[in-house]
Amino acid sequence: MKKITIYIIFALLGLASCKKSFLDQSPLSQGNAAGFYKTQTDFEQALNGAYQGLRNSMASATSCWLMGEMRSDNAFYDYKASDRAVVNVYRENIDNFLDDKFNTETAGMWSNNYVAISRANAILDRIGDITLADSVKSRITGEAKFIRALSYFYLVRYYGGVPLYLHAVQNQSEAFLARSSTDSVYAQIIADATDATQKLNAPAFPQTGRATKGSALTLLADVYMTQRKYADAEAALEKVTRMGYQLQTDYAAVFATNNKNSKESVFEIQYSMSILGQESAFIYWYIPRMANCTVVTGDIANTITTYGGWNTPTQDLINAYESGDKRLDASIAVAEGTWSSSSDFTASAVKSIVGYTPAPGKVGRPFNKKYLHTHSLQYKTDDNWPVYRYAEVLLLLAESLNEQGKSADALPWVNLVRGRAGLAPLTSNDQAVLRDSILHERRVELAFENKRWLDLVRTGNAITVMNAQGDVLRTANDYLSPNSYKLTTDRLLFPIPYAETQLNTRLTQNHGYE
Amino acid sequence: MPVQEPFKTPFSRGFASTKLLLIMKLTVLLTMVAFLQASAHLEAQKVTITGKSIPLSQVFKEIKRQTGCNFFYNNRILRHANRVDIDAREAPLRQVLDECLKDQPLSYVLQDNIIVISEKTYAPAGNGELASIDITGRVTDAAGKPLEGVSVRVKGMSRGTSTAADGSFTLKGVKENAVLEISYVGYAPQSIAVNKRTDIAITLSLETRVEEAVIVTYGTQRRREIVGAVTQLNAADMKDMPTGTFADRLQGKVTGVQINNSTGRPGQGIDFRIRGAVSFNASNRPLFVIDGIPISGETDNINSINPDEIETFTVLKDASATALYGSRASNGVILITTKRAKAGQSTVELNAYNGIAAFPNERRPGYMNATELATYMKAFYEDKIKYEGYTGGVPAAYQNPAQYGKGTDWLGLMLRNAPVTDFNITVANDRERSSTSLIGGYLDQQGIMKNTGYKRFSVRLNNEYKPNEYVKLGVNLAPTLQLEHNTRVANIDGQRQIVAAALYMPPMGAYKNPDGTLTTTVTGFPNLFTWPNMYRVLLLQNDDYTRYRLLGNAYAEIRFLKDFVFRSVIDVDVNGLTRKNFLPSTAQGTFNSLPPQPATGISAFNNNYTWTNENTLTWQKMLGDHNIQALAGYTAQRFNDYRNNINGNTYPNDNIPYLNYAAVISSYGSSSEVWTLLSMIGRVNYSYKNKYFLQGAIRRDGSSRFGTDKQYGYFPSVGAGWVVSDESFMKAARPVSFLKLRASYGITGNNTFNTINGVSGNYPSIALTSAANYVFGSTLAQGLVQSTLGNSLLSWERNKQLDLGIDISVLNNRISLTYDYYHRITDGLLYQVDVPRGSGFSSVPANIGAVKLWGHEISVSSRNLVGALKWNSTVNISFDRNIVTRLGTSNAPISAVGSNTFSEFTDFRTEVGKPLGQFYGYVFDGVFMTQAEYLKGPKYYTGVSTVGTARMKDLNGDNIIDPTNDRTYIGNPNPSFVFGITNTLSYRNFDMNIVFSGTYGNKIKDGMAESGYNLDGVFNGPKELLHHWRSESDPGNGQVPRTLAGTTAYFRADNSKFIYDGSHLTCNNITLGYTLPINPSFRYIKKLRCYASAQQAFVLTSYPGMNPEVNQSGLNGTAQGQDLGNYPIPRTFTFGINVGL
Repeated sequence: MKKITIYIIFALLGLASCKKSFLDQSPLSQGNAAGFYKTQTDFEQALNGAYQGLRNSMASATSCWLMGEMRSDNAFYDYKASDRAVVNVYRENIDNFLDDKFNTETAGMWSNNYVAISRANAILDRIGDITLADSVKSRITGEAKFIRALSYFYLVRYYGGVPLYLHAVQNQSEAFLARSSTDSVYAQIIADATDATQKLNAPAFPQTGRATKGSALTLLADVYMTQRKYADAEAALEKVTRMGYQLQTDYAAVFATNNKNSKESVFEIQYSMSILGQESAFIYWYIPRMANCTVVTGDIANTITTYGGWNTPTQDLINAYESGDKRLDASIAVAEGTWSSSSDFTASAVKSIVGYTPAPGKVGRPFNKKYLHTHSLQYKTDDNWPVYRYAEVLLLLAESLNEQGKSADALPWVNLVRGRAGLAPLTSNDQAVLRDSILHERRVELAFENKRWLDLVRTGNAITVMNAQGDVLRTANDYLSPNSYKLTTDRLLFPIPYAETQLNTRLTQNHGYE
Repeated sequence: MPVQEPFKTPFSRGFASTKLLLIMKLTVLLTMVAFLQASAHLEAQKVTITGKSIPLSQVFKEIKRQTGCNFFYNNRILRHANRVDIDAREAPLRQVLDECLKDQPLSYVLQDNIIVISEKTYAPAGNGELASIDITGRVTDAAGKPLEGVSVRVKGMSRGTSTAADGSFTLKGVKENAVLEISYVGYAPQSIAVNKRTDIAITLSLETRVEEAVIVTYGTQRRREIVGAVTQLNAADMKDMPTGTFADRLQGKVTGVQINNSTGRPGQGIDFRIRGAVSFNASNRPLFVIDGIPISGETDNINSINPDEIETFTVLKDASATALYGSRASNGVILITTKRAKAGQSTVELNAYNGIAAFPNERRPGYMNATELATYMKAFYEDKIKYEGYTGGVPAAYQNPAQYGKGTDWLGLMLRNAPVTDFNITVANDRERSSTSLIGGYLDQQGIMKNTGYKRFSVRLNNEYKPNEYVKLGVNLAPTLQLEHNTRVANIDGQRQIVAAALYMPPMGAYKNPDGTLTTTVTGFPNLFTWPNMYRVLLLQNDDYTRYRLLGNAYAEIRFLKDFVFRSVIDVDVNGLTRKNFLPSTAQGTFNSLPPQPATGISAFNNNYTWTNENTLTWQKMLGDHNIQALAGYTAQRFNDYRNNINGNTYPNDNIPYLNYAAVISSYGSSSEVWTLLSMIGRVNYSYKNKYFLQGAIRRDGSSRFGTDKQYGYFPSVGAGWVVSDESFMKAARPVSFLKLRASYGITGNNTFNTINGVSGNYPSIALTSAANYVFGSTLAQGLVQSTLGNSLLSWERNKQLDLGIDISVLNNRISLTYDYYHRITDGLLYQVDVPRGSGFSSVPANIGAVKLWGHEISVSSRNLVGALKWNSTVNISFDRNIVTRLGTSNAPISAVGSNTFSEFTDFRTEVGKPLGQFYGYVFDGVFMTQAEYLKGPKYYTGVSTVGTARMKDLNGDNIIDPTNDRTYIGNPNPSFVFGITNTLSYRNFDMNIVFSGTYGNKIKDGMAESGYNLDGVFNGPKELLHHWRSESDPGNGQVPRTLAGTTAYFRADNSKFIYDGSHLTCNNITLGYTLPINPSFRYIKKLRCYASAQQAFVLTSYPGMNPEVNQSGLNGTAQGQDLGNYPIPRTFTFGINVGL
């Protein structure tokens, strides 16, 4: 008996002699990154993930339109005096040039672009480790470099010289980089974009939505334009014009959800409402604050608090459309309705902006309707986001020619765009006149595509235009602080997110935001 | 793990009862003899001793002095010896010894110059057959009152009985030299030699606290032997408290344990914090061990325990007490032991109570009624017209405030008097070879918020079989079913949820239409935010959790080779949870977001199980005055979790609340997680002369949660105790009945990593991938990305803790005091360290940061009155302090959630050199009452300051108020001390119990003020708003700024106005009971007691909110003390009965 007991005890103790595998538990419902990046499928999926990263940096996040459009003279916001929620004040401050380094609404642009960059870096770091067909390796590399270049291009324009992360960070110590100079960031963007132009194939129509040689050339040209290297820009753009891109006949059709990745599309961020989790919802930010937006969107979402009332067209923009410009009606509509006793707006109809006068007892509230298309469920729309389209290629080409003094050569390109809008061709060969015309054309053609603020900065017009706009807005809206719209050159960049500077003491803050 | 009996000392069990043992002992003794160089021949020695009532020990001492012989005995066995009267002059030694030990339960062996004293029962074999006799007896207390249910056991045998209501017992066929062991909770155990008597009267004296048996990790010890900081509570003392969970019952009872009653949700878990435990990302929760099963996961996992199943709680605080739980022990351990049948017991007990819970009216926050809010709004518009050029006039709704009267009392509507019913039956039966206890419980606790409630059905079956005297087999099973209705709906309490909304909603609004139906929305009051009818929302929402649980274990215990016990246990803890949620279209929304909105539904399921296997081997040996106990073992544990969820919306109507009617499935998922733990344990206890104690323990833990490079760790501890009062030099100090000094030091760990930023707490060391899907056109493009940074060096949090303690009893144990000082350093704090977002990631788990903690704990028990009126008091108080010594890589301060993102609205801040989680903000300095004051005073940096706006203190003296330079620490949510007071009184058949608990010096942030003090006329607010600044001639009370548009926001930023003193004294419970006198001859009922009780009887505090124990973030040490409108705490009156059959 006793002996048996002892044997049992030692047998059981023996069991305990630390089976190591008992402790090695790998995650069951998530993958272990150590086993990833091994096959072509892995890299294709990693690349899809990198594209997905662009959604927040280019389109979905609030920082995209807050910094790209609302900062400019194109857009304002729906002021609700009683709703002083912190996040709303932050957003209004961005529009009013009262934002400071604590403003968390401008931090998304930083982190979202770096997410896309890190995903591209992970691909570029490891694609050399496996055997792949050259064509496949070249395409994947090209797309990843395009994504990295595009993201750094947004970062450098919004924040100036940023830290250049060129390899995937794998541990804490690799995460603390100092800022690089603006020039070195641009050099990297040009290197990546140039490499992408060589590795990517020309677009095939109908397009898939992936970055193509055309996308990369347009990006490269845009970078050159920003650097005022007009000849280089012209060369790249000229190639794009020979790739088969065409303007849609009808301006409104450019944004139609049945025209995704059309012949006019050079690069757009993809969404689909037919697959769960792949939907867009831009329009809900842009319509007025309403308890129920059925009249506008067809569903019963409430846009008073979370969504609604942002990026609304300024009167200045509405006035900027020339008489007969088809783009006005395609870009802006009016929600007509009344104010309730609880100080909320109730829409009763959507009207055309063209020649609009409110019905008796009603008020009209203009909103940007480029991304308003039929859908059935709240916050689930089908709209893609245009990053580059052929109309912009034409306008960039015209601008690059005009800036090189080849104004006459520029005219036909601008007039292609104007012609589609139903407007008479421009005729003036005067470089300065044409420069203003092209900028104006960009404003109305690309309104609400998050181009305007960057255009104002790039062309050196931001301070004058916005200070003048501020005088108008302060007069019209007595709630605006006298300090609003007092731009200096410091305001051409945004502050490095405060949390980032707290964490990474190697970062220096942009001038004027310290 | 069932209660392990205190190890019977092999010495008393078996000395000289077998030859083998005798030989062993003698060998040892002879070895010693050699050292002693003895030569005298004892037999021949003569001794002279005279005296009356001399303690035996003194007699032995005298003999030793005269003869040079040595005595070997265990002090313990002399405790039951009588004093002797002796008159020996030059008498032979043997004669003197015979005389002294006559009528004593002792015998002696004389060998050379050594005399070994042992208990008589085990006199050397060969005495011949002993007669069996039948014994009857009666057990009473010191006052002669019969004691019922006292366990009477025959020593060394498995048989026993327990006393009847009149204190009587009968044992048949007992050997005439047997020893009876008598034990009863709260009384000192006794051993009585039968000595051929057939009628024995036994008087039990109240336990001197120090001798009670205490459940410790992997076993029991007598309190005297404990070297660490351990508190044991008897659940029976708290059984009349009408609480659904046991946690409430412990409030105020244990020194150094903070239990916050932060929510009144029925049946919800209450968080414990032992010695101010701190962690950032890891849990602060102590490890709960139920009958030896370490319970993993959320506090919810201990709610399902029916408090009436519990026999004792043992709270282990210092490293020596907890070290055997190694990497999970650093927050302390709470051992829970469930009820078992006592020896010979065959009883049926019924306990039931019924009561009503209600919100105490005096705790209602003073928010404006309808007339007052309309008056405020009228003034708001008048000022708008006066100062802002507003031309719309005062809206009609506010022109005549008096028309509304008091308006709708939203909170009052939502509250109700809620019934609570509890019923428990305990059947206990102990026979010679088996014992069984069965406890069935039913609890129905309705919430004081309408449409909320909790029900629990529980059964516990504890079985033990003893096929022979070497083997014990046991099976314990405890199935539970819990039905929770709307008790954990996210939208009941918390920031701006239903409870808070009841205060913020305009009281002018109607909750029902003229036809009696409920309104859907509350609108029509200009500038005030619109609301759904939150009362309707409360009534219509439906969120049901059904929870199943089976807690069970099976064990075998084998005694062999006299001194060894092997024990093997398999524990299982099986949990299932299903959630059915449906929020109808009219029960949606919040302020500014009105119903109807698409109805939403959730179906979720969570299934997990844990198994644990523990194998321990114990060896205990007593060698003279040396007592050694050694424990070795290994354990393995595995947790497995599977869960899924489906969320849908857009239903055709509100009638069918199931997802097959939902038009849209908005999200879904399933996931599974596993963790494992593999450990070896070892412990050695050594005592000398039963007054010097040493303990060393170690655990080696391997955890799957940590990095491959850091999977194993060692957790050692040492402790020592010294019963000073047993020293001869203390004999003079008569008033001191007991004095013990303790010291311990050890290292424990914390391996509980919270899931943060989507990084699972079970796989923090591994870099994970996540889906990042995309589309091209309308074609799905499946994406995968690395979503977290792993850390293969990740390890557990490490605590080094020193504990110094003293236990002292004076005046014949009338007053006892326990004092402990501890000093603890927690380093390698598990922390989700922020990394620059430029990396593409937000954080990485790491061991970083250190906190120093120390504190003083004092507990005093006193028997104030011991006559017919008995009155006992226990007071405890603890002072805990902490200070952060290191944080992250750069010592950058962090806010509440482990983030270093600070805005003007960041309420908490943790910084090196300060205690954790301080409130941070501006220092409120009133209002600019006059233009002159304004011109002189510091102005807010955005340029919105003007006369009548808030003035904050200008800390850097630049006359500009800005968030960088003018915010500071404005309050410490850590209390200066926490305390508890328990008073127990009894007089004849009446008994009374009063429990208080409280804190002093902690600050509370009224987080509701950010909305309540919103001056923009959007929410209802505190009555003080009526005294806002309106002009220099009508400046209000100087505490509330003006309503001028654009100037009000920074008054709502965190500032000292919203920080309150949270000191409070809560009367947790008052119970008055009466035991009906029952004639012992009445066969049907043995005992009947009824009682009335008031739970949460009253709260004394200056805090104006609903509950001074509020704590929105629960245990989180970096974010405690915030009030965001929690479920209110009820006061409960109950009437109950205890019946014994």
